[in-house]
Amino acid sequence: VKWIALTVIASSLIGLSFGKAKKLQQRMKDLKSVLLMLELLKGEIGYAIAPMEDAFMEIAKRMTTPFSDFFHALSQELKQLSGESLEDIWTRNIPIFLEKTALVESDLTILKKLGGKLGCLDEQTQIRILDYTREEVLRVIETLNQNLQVNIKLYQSMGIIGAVFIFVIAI
Amino acid sequence: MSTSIEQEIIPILAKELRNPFIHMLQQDKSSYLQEIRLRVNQPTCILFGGQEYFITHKGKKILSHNNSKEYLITTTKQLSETTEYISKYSKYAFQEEIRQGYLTIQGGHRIGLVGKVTMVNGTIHTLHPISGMNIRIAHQIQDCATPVLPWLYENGQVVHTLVVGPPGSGKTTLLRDCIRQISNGTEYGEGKNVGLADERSEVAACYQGIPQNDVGIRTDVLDGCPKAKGMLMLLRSMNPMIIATDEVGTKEDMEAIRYISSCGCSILVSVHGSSLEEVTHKPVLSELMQMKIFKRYILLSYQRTHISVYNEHEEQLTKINI
Repeated sequence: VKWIALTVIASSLIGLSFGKAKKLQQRMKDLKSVLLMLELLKGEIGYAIAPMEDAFMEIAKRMTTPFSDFFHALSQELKQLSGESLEDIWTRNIPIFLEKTALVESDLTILKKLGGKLGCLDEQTQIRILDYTREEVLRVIETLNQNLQVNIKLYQSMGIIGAVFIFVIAI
Repeated sequence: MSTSIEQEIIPILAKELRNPFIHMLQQDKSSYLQEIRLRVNQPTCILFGGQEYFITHKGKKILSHNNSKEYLITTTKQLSETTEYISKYSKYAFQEEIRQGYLTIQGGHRIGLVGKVTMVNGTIHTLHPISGMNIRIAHQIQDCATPVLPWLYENGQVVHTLVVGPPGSGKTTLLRDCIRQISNGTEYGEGKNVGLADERSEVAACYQGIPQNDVGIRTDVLDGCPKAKGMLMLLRSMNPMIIATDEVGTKEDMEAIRYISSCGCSILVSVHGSSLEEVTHKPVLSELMQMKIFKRYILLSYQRTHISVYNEHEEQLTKINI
């Protein structure tokens, strides 16, 4: 029984640490999806001069879930002209769809801020806002990237060391 | 309430303006609604069956000379919100239309805008903030051109025609129905390919390139393109039998008309004017009239009471009471 309990605890520790490491990798992947979304939005606005509902629908087709679901929902809601502002629709849908991602609160705040600046009077300003948001996301990616491999190894090693430590104490 | 008003007009209004209009249209025939005028800090105004009314908070129509204090006053916030919905939350996508002071929405309804104009290098850069708008409800009057159609054909072919009328006389409506019927085919001639250069989207009322008004099954529309360039582009690219456009007036337009008239293609255009004499005095148009390029002049009366048809010698062929 003792050895079974130890094995379960050790496995949980390893699982937890590897899970944490995977979440870091997933956050990086999701941030890159945000970058792709910004690029696609820039293309739709800058080249196709598409209104937001059409731009969001196009982006929904080119991205994977949950980002595609997010943009699909936005496009549908904008079409309805329910009387809600774009900022409110955008902000309300972020927790519904993007909390399923590995993005952390600060990443989601960048996205929420963007919602308040969409639909500007002129295309150039809109592009500049998207570029500014892109730079913000790039800075987050850069910071994350600097420590990503170290942190992944750290989490994994801590899990393994923790498990070994439990066994050593038990012996 | 008609479905088109319910689906196309009510949703573009600010949330606070929707209910009064819904109530108003539930009580009255929405087909009589012609215009909605929103001006900052002024009563919300409508043109309903040719009569101007103010709207109350409860959606009641009050004659505009009535001194009631119940008027629904349009606020800056409501105008800004309405602009958001008109531009589908994407003002940048309608930058050019806003700059020109009007845009067309789904259903072919046209919205005129006024506000603070910002000039850059002598050209209008933008219109911001918007302080007023006029929502003109699209009403097609099908078959209104039927009485003039026999006069537009000679041996089954459409002759060069100029539609003349003062603002508000129904020139565009008549031109649109002429195009539709000529394109579909009539008892006077089989259906013909029509090229329509619709610079201000008033004839076909294109929304995202798709005509919202019925302009016929054989009509190719070049939307938003300057008239002169558009007419020549259509001539080169679409091989039309008739080229139509609304409200010609510039030297370039006249040169394009002169060129097209010599290419075996018929012309169907309209121009502002209250009489043929007035049109004759227009500097550029008078030349075309002297050359007797137009075989028919359709003159509309201001009160929309009658239409007169003239030949190239400016002799009256008929007067149709409407």
